[in-house]
Amino acid sequence: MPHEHSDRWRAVLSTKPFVRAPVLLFKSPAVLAAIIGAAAILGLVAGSTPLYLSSAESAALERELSGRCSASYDLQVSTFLPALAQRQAMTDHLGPRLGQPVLVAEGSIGTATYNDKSLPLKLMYRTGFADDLDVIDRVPGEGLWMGERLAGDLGVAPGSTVTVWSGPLQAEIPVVAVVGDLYDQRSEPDWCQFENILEPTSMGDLPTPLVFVDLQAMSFPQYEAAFATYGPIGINEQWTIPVDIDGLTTGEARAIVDSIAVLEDAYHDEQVTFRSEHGPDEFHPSFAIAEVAVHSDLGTVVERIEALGAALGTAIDPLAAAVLATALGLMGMAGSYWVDRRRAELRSLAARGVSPGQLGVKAGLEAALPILAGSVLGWAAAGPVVRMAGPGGRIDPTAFTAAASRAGSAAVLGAGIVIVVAAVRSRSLLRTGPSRARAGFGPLLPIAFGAAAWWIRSQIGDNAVVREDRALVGSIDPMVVLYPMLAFAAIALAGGYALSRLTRRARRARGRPALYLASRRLSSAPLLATVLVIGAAIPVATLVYSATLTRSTTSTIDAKGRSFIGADVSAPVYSLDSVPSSLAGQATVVALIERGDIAGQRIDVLAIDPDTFQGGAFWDESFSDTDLGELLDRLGPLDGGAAPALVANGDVGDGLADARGVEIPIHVVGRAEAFPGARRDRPLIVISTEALGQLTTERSPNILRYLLWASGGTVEDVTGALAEESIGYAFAIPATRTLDLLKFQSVVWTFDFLELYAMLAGLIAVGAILLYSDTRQRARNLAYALARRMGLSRSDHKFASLLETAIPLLIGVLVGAATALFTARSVYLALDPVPETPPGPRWVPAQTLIVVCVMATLVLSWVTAVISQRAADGADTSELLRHEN
Amino acid sequence: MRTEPVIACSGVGRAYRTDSGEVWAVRGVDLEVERGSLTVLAGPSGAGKSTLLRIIAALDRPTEGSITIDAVETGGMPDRRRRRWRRRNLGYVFQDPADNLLPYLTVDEHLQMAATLRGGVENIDELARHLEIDDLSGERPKRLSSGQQQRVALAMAAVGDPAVVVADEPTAELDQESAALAIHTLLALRSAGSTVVVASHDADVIRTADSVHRVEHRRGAT
Repeated sequence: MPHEHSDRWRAVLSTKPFVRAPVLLFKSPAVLAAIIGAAAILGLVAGSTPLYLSSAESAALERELSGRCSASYDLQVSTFLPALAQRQAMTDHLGPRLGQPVLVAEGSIGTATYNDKSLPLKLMYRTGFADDLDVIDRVPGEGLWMGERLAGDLGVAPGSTVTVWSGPLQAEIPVVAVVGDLYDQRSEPDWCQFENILEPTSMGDLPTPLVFVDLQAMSFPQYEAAFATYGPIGINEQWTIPVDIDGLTTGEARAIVDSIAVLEDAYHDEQVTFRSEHGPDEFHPSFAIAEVAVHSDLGTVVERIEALGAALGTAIDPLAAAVLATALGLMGMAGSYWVDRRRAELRSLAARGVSPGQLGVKAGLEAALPILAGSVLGWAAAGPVVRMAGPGGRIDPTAFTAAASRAGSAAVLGAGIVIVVAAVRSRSLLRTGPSRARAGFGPLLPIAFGAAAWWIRSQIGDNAVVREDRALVGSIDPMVVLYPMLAFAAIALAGGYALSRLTRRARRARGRPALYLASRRLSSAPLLATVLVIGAAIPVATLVYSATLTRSTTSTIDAKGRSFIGADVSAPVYSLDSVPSSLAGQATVVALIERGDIAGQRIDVLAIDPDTFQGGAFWDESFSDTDLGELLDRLGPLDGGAAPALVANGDVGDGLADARGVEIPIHVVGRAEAFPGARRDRPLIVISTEALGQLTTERSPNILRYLLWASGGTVEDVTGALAEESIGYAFAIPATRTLDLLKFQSVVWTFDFLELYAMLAGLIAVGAILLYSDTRQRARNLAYALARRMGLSRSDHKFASLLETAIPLLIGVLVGAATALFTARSVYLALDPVPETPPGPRWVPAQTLIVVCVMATLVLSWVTAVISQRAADGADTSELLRHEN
Repeated sequence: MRTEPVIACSGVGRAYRTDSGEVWAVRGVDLEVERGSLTVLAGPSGAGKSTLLRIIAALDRPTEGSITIDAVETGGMPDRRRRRWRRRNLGYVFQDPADNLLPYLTVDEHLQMAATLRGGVENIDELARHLEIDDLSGERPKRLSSGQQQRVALAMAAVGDPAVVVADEPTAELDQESAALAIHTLLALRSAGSTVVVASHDADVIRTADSVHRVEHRRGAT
């Protein structure tokens, strides 16, 4: 029997309709386009996920590394050979993205004397230093490159010779260049590795000047002699291999981290080789054979990024699977469309005993090449789509391979779906007789989904951002994604059910022919109306939900950052009188005393200038029920010996506060839930700087920090303004850098991904609607022909087609958008990535997006009407009527 | 001696379920068709001729009654077995000539396909000559007239000497000249020994039949 079965199949497959099947679709452009389009969408959906994850990891990596000094992620290599030999040894083993080795030699503090003036200095060397200094004056030769301030203080110019002392030794060294000072550039990428030795003291004094020594490439004996010339000052050498992070992907970073052990082994071998090839004179005894150490923080960063990728993948994989299933449904629709367009041929073959399964195989053979072409197109489009709508990071080339694998698997599944659908549809090809109108469905289905959604919502805790204690990154509770999906399904089904009931009433509608026709068509196909409502509601709801939560979460994180540091930018300064004139109205200086005490309770004390505070500091309405201006008005000088005080984040009453050595009697005049700069674990007492000044005339607190808080500008704006007026500051930090944003990036990107896939789901819905409208119209061509004979105009028919599509779609869009806003509103308070830092979650609804969806729906309805009218106009009326007769 | 009829229907009826209840397309049909005859099912539109024809062609199953074709009870067969049986033992011709032919195959390729599906048949050239379509072997359907298309369809149905060749209104879509060609082909099939059953209200077809069975609305065939 099996033999006979296979013989039958072989016989059928050997007939011409099957042998020629792979090229037949090229003669049916509409079906070809439908299948290619559906396969392209499928390939796009399948291929997007690995590319999105790669882009997210790269973006996170870039964000994590770009704010750091390169010294933290570059490879730091211990000294294992004389300078020249080590440079060569390291260069020989450089892998991708590793730059030429850089040597930094730092001497201990010595003294420079010129014309009886003596000042301290620190000798330095860094590979390529001359290219990064701002040269003011220069003479040829080797010698000292001295900063402008020290040169001016000593009275030297290029060509002068200074005496450099270190301990008992001295040397005469020419000054060959005067350069710009580096104090203001200590945060710049070229000099940030010296930030700790360029930073002013706690009292605001400038540190010991750095003076660079112009060392040419030399052998070890020359090197040692050069430094010996300057005295046996201690030399601290550090080798660095720079890592090129421009467009660095996680895969490349992981490869660098993995290569560290290999480099260590290679350098150790170089060491052994050098020792065997060079005599003791060339090899300093201090260079004993030892393990070579290569250090970098890059490994820690990569580990965090990979954890983020894993957390994000866990959240988005189910979403991707759901959208992929929908895309496969579109492939099924394309298969069904194939059956409709090839009905005559398939009936002929079925009548001759070709089985539905064999007809399904025929569908697969015809669709194979278009599916392949479409999948390739979709896979190729995934990259640009993710680049445009994704996190913005560079996509690792290996991700494209993973994407191709997924797209290929999806294509195979899609082809299988086409075969199955074609086979199932083919079963009814030869059936005739009256058919029953397919009814809609009862209210039980939406009620069931709604109940499930309600239950899921009840399972979501007060905070849906999962943060385990030692977790590298946070992740989102999957219920936050599952709950709205069920709610959307419930509302969409309810909307469809309601429409199907309403359209039955619409059968009694009278009026213009277009309205009459549209109402009849909707009422005769309640299931179709329901499908259109659902098809519009779910993608729109998903899009609006995810967009709203993305914007809300991003805004919340941004506000929390500003609350944490007090403003958009914060910079430690050295006095209260540190607001540059160019920042007047936008900046304020506060005095912060941390970890004081009142009645045994730990507190912080913040002294502010009420006149300038509101312009510079960050404020959120949720911080207090009382207007900020009114709170500030209550502050002022001592009143009855006590400082009027605001209390935030705690229950502190009148009393005597110990502010690290200064007693501050306070009288509480106002309270707030939160305040800029307040910390989670202790109350903040806010007084005026005037009151603090009155209390610290004789004694200052042991630890008092002045902070410049500026709003509305960037770090560069603030540091530029400070430098312009020579106002000292330690550093400047933006709000975006204060919180460990990487920890919560997976939360934001989960919703971002949901937004992307909602757009893809919308694309699927559009494809399905266009496919179906063409099929539907072809099935109605006879009715249209008869109606035209009875006086229906083309414009009325076109308008009826527009109404027939627009009404359920618009209902779907509006129902979906309303549901999305409702569900997002019910859950956004649980999406607090940093609950310990105020303010609470912000609500930023995606209103513009809703308007865009409505406009897109109207355009789609119009396009559908045009397609329907074109299909109707293309029918041969006389042939249709002849058939009917 | 009377031979066994090749088709025997007893109390055959077919009902459809609709929103308004059960509808009988045909009911209470008792019918016998002699081997090698040309039998016509005649009757007004909506009488159930096509429905009965589809049951005879094993494209559909009766709701009640029994039908035997070439000593095989086809009415109760499961779909898959009925399809296999139909492929080997029955030829069916649709009313619209274009529905019988594939636009991308030549006449010869159509006959080859029919022969392969029948289970591998030789001497299709002889059939083509007998039905006078051998001069059309290299043509595609769109280059044939309606009458020529219908003759090719009849030839495909007759490939491999099936028990019965069934045609639904084979001349309805044709002009007078093409209809005459189709009738000529029906007669040629009969003369070649095929049993042919035709649903038609064409007087010319009825005139050439060996027997005519009238199908009345809900009253079965007489």
